[in-house]
Amino acid sequence: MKVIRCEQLSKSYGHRQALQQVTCAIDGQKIVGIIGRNGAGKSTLLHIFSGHIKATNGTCQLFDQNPFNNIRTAANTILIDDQLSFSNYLSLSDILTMAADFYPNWQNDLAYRLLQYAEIDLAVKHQQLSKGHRAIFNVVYGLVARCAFTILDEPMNGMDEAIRQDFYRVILKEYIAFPRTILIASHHLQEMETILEEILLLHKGKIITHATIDELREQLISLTGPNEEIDVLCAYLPIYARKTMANLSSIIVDAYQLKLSHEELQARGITQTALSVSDVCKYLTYEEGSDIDAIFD
Amino acid sequence: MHIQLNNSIPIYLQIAEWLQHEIIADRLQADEKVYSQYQLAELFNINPATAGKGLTLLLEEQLLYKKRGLGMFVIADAKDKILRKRRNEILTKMAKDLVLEARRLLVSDEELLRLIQKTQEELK
Amino acid sequence: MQSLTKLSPILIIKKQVKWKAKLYISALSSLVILQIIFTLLFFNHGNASEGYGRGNVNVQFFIYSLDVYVMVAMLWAFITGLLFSTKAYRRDDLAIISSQASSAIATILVVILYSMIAVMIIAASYYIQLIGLFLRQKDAFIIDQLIISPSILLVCFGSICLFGAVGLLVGYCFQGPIIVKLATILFFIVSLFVLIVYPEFINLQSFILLSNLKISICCFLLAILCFGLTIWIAHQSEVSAL
Repeated sequence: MKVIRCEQLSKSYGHRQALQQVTCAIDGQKIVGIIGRNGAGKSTLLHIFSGHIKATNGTCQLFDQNPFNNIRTAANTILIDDQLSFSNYLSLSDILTMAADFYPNWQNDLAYRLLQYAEIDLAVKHQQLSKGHRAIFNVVYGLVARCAFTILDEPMNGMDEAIRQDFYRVILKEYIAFPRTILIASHHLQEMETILEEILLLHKGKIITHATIDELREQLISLTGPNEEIDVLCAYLPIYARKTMANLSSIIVDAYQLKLSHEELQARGITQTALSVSDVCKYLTYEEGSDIDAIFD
Repeated sequence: MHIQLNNSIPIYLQIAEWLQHEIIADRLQADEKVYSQYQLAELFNINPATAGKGLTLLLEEQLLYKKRGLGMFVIADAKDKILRKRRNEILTKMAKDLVLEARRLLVSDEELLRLIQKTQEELK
Repeated sequence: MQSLTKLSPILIIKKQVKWKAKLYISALSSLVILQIIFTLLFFNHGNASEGYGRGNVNVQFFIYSLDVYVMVAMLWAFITGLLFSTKAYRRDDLAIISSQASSAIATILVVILYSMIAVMIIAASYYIQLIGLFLRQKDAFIIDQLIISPSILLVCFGSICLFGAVGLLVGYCFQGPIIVKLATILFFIVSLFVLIVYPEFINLQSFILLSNLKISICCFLLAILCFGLTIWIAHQSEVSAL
């Protein structure tokens, strides 16, 4: 099933280019992480997907239709972010009743059980909730609606550590119970990488990579060895980062461009270590001079 | 039940590894049904696709077989296969690493052998 | 594989109207309060009065009519329309199935519904006032029209609706795309200029002299124009502008 198709999508606000020629496709029911640093364009992209804003250039197709102000795609889409707001005349339980009226797949019992677990009082208003409780309520709202296309923008912001882990598990279990396409935008990749299938990495309004979590993990490796040997490699390999301590250097390089086998590296006294997915993302969006150490040199 | 996932080793490999471990420990017996990808996903809090990849790996290594509509089952001689493979691959690799490390630390070959024998005695 | 939900837009709008009508009910209660205030304000002296004096005879007429109520309701409708188009109200629609256009249509339907209820409130206020006056001074009480004619109700409804529509349109214009915003400001400046330089351009007197039916048709046509423009602007609007 085609879910999202984007071709050369751009979005600018005045002179600021929030997205530049984004081309991507998401198919099938997957949990996809939208990863990027602050201001990378994550929210802009998600708002285009949800039909809230219009691309300046290029096309976006959600379920083969343009999502912008489209009630048909809206019926299958839910976007949860910290801007979510409800009328001040509704208590939380009224909100659940209203949502049940709109969303055909709404799971009211589950909503009640989850909110009870989080010890959220359903008699209060949405505006009265603390930041953490509001985030929990919003995630629950987004999940029990069971929309074919569910977008969670920084869903765990404001939640405490223990409950964050609980709710990543809730996302996973809800996904297993009712498979759907779930996009989760976050800059905390590490805490959610296990539940993701794919990652879309954005940087400065562009897509750096879109791959499965394992492909991404294998994209970069870290090599550590004597300075002279590392220098030889640096001559012909693009280097993502380099750190030198006394006569040892370690570099981050593209694993697919490194043509040396494990044995050949070992013979030169170079050891290779795999990186975590979040480190790979960090280095892929690394820039000249963006190393904090450079400021102190 | 929970295994600590290491974040620099692909999760699907860790899942495959864990399943093999279960087979060696006889917790998964010959012709017994293996956890589905969804059960594994819940068990380890991982994406079902990742769990599926781990299962597929074992399917390709012919440690599991598939019954249409029923799921995956352990092949009769899976345990033997794993043990044989481990002996070959893992022990060989570990022995190699051990020898290399010993040389780097200037431990003579005789000394290393003596160390191994001593360790064997201790663990008896 | 799960299939996509197919909800008809009409069904979604229906639900939106249902919930909006419930949630915005405070707008109606504010109208009731306004009408009570104005009833009390004019209870003793009528909303227009004439007096004669000749010799020792001094005659004073107190005239009580619907006009003030309708004018209050028109102002109320304008402000309500403006209010419904603000960020605070429109953001809430994003939490349920909606598009900018569907929300605008639902809000318009609520404005129409509320205008109808407003007419009922006006009529009720009028009758309550009549009863009050009747009880106070039975002797000097002349009722010109006991039953408000349907054509007058139609004019009331039309004009309240029109003011609601204008309020909504103005609100949407100022929250819409930048081009619409500029066009609106330009429109206001030009119309202000025209009104100052050629005051006779708009001939309100001849308009009022038209028959009730004609006046209501004019109101409805203008209201429909405003509603149409509101939907059109909503359909172009982005949420980020909210």
